[in-house]
Amino acid sequence: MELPGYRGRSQQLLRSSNVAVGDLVQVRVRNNAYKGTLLPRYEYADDHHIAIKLANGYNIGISTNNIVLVKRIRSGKAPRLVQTPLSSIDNKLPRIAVISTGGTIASRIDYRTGGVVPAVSAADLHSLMPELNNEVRVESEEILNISSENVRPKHWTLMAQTVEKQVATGMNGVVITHGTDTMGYSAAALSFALLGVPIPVIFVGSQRSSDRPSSDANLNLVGAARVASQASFSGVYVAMHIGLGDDLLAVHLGTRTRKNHTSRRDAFQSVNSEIAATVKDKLIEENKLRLPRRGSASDFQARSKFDDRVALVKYYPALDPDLFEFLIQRRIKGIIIEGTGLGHISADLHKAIKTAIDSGIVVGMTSQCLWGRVRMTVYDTGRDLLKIGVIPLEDMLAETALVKMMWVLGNYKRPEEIVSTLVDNLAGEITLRSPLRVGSK
Amino acid sequence: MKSYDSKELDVKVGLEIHQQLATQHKLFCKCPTLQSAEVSPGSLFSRRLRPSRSEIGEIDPAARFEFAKNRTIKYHGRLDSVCLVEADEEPPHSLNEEALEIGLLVALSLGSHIVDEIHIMRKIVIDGSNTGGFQRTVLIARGGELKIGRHSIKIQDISIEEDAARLLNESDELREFELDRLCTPLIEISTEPMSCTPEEVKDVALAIGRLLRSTKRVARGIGTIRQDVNISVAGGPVVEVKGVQQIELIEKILNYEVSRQLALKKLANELAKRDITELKLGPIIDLTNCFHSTNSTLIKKILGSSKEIKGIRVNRFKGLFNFESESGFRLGRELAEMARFHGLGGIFHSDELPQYGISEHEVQTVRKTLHTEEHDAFFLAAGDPKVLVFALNALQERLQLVVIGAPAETRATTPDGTTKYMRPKPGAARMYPETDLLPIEIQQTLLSKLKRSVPQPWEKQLANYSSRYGLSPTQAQKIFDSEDASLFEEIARLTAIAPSIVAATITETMKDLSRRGLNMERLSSAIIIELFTSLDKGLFAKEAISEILAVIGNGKANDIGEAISLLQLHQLETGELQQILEDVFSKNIGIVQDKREAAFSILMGMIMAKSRGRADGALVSTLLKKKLTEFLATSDQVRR
Repeated sequence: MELPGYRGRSQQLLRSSNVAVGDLVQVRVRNNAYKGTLLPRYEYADDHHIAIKLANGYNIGISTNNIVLVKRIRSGKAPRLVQTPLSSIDNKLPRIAVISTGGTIASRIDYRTGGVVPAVSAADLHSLMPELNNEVRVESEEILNISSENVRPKHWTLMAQTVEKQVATGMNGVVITHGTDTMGYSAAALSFALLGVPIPVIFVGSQRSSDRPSSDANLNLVGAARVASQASFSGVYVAMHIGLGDDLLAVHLGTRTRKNHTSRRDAFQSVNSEIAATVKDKLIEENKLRLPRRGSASDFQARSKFDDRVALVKYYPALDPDLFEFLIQRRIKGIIIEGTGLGHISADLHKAIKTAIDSGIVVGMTSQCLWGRVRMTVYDTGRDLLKIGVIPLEDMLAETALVKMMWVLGNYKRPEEIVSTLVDNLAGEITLRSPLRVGSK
Repeated sequence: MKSYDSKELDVKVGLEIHQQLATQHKLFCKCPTLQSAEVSPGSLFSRRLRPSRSEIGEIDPAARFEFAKNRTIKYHGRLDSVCLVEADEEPPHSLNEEALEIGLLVALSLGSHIVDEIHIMRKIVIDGSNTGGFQRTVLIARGGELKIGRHSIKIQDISIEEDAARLLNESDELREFELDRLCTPLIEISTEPMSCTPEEVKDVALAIGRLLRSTKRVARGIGTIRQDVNISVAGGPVVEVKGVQQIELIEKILNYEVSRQLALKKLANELAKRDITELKLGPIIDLTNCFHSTNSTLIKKILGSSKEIKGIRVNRFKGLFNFESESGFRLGRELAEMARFHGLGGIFHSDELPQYGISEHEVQTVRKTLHTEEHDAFFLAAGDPKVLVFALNALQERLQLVVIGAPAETRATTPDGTTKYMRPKPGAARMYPETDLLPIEIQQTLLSKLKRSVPQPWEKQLANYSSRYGLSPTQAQKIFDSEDASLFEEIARLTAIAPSIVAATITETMKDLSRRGLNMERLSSAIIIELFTSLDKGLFAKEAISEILAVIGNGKANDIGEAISLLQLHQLETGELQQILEDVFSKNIGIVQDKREAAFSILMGMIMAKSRGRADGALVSTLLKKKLTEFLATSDQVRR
């Protein structure tokens, strides 16, 4: 008997009444009766209510204290997802792979239970984006189904290897659907792991759940698929809304973007960089970032190793120097500091940092200002830190620097090579020139 | 008004009353519940809504049609009454507890069963009236009853929901909405289907309105209460008529809708007589070529704008497009309405052709192309290729339903009391849980607290009202039912003016001014309050009320002060008044001598006319009485 979510009193009651979720039931309470479909109980719900969906569509919870009798009227049918048949798609159209990793973008709600189920078959995707039926052939692959806060470096490796495999099959482009919370990290990670990738690899997510008609998912997904199949450039990008209207899409450099709002559909912004391209309807307009062009798949190899023994330390006025001691003990190999202003951290911590560096840890400096470049020769503090051996990381985002550190430590062994790779611009993560105007700043 | 016999025709009517609640904040955010009649300048953002993924695979023609039209929705709003929640750019905040409490109070006063644990739901609506593409709604109670005289009306459901955005205008490409009203808390009370006369239905609506107002926590004013009416005839499907703003229209709409449904029923019977249980229709066929050398200016115009003409054969349907009921209802009209809804200009059908410049020859060519037999009918329509097939499919589907009579659908009211097609009736499948919020357990402690503040029954409140303010029962009821009850109460609190004068002004004088065509929007609550505080200070006499409101209403004055000086209404000093009195008295001494005490009312009228509302009637009366008594006494003495 299926009673997902029920426990304690409510579970006992339903068990003894011999009913299962999905059954049409009559619930008699002291001076009234309700008829409806028994619903699963949501996670963390209390144990003294049962939930039913009434004929008018409303859900209600009925307290077990008031229930006199639960009776099955009719057994429920198992929910069946309606699979839209894949209409004939012209096989001369460009092929793209849609790799799904989770998040709400490529999932849909099951009306009966209210739960979210993934929708990742190619047919599903085509039916979600009918406007693409004359433009691309979609092939889908689900490699993960996790919320993005649960994505770990090992998952970046999996994503990179999957892309590598898809490139080898001659795909014209790849779309990776991803939860938005850590999509910036993953995009940065794949920017490094897939250096030299000959096709566009487009990360896409949605801020407003795809179960709502106002979701940003469709514009994002359609735009991402267009860029993946039609753009003349290659590399790793994030495609998300510009503004609150559903008309304009930004294609951000994977190493330069960040989620800067908790809920708005235009949460992603490029920091210290122009947006790489915009998409309006079918028009992909490239900015002058000298993006790499599409190339041949034959000689591409991913370097998808990441060493996760790396820490990101945001400086704050009460930061305890012992934290660095702890990191040394944990055999951390690299630390990215998110310092203040031009790249500073309190003098009280300099000794601890020196100990860390002396023990072989690579320490890089970024700024919690987000916008602008670190410059550690201006003030004493900066000069002291330089002298200790802290590496200034120019105008790189702290998150990108962290990911790059993991990738560099995973792929390079010699210390001088590690440092030189860290400060070298590989995937647009560093620019040495600061233009007067960049994006909105 | 002649109305139907609800018993004989088995008419069942259910009411859904939507009433805005007077809460401080909106239902799921901390925006104030401000509303203005204005349109905010510039739009804040635009959207494209599409059938949400969950709906894919299900037939929801309205949603798919909306999407097919590729319509952009533009939202206007003021930054002080719209936040990211209304824009659907931030998850909803917790349910407004104030709104829930009001809802529970109403449920308690109706004796309804309160839901133990309430679940917030989303009702899919993708016409743009809700930015998210759904309206949040929560069922808080079921059942209960309302006693009206001898009758007892059964309540079905009580829900709390968010109001929709205000439609400003729409075209084929664009819909524009104002956001100020969006997410304002509403209570929805629906009744069980009732079998009663239109007049009784109106009384039920009125009674529910009164019950809601008796909580003193609902919004007042135009548009704050709206009713939907569900109507079925002779066991047929339920037709939902949305958006009846004026209670007075309910009877008219019921009569119209019953006669419409009856007419369709009769048509269905006619089909049954012809032994047609299922209507057979031909495929959609392009007819553009049939008209290549047409003389019809109408068709020429259509073809000139790169539209196509397509048609469909309807087997054995000859004469039935024009089938007319006694009430004058025709199927052709129903289909034309549907065609317009789907973006077409209308349809032509075989029962009306040749006409509109379309020749008999062209009709024959069409018949040939559609392969019609003698008893077959056809209809054709012209339109943009993009929408034409979609619309014709919808018309096909609609036509197939004629065998059952009036189909279940949602219709909108028109200002003249008729109804028109709006969208298919939404089913339970359009409701799914608000995944951003957790269910809420209704605490017994809250209910016990609320039980103590359940409002008194309306009749009792009315009796109290009339005794507290010294109003006649009729006057008390008028005020209580009017939108200005709170204004009345405030004036009564602020001034020492007799409440009956205030009541008369708010109900009768205002109605009269409105009839005279004055701009009532200029006569705001603030103006009315100022009117009475000024009167209270003795700045003018109460006789001038109507004149003052008139000059403000017609734009000659902007406030009470201006009106007073414009009309030279400054209350006359007793000295000045005495002078007018003396003057009138001496000029009419003959009347006084002739009529003696009976001259009072004549002179009174003359003095009041001469002082043009600047004199207080009571004072004039006292002065005149004194003068008259003195004069008569002296003249009697002289005579003696």
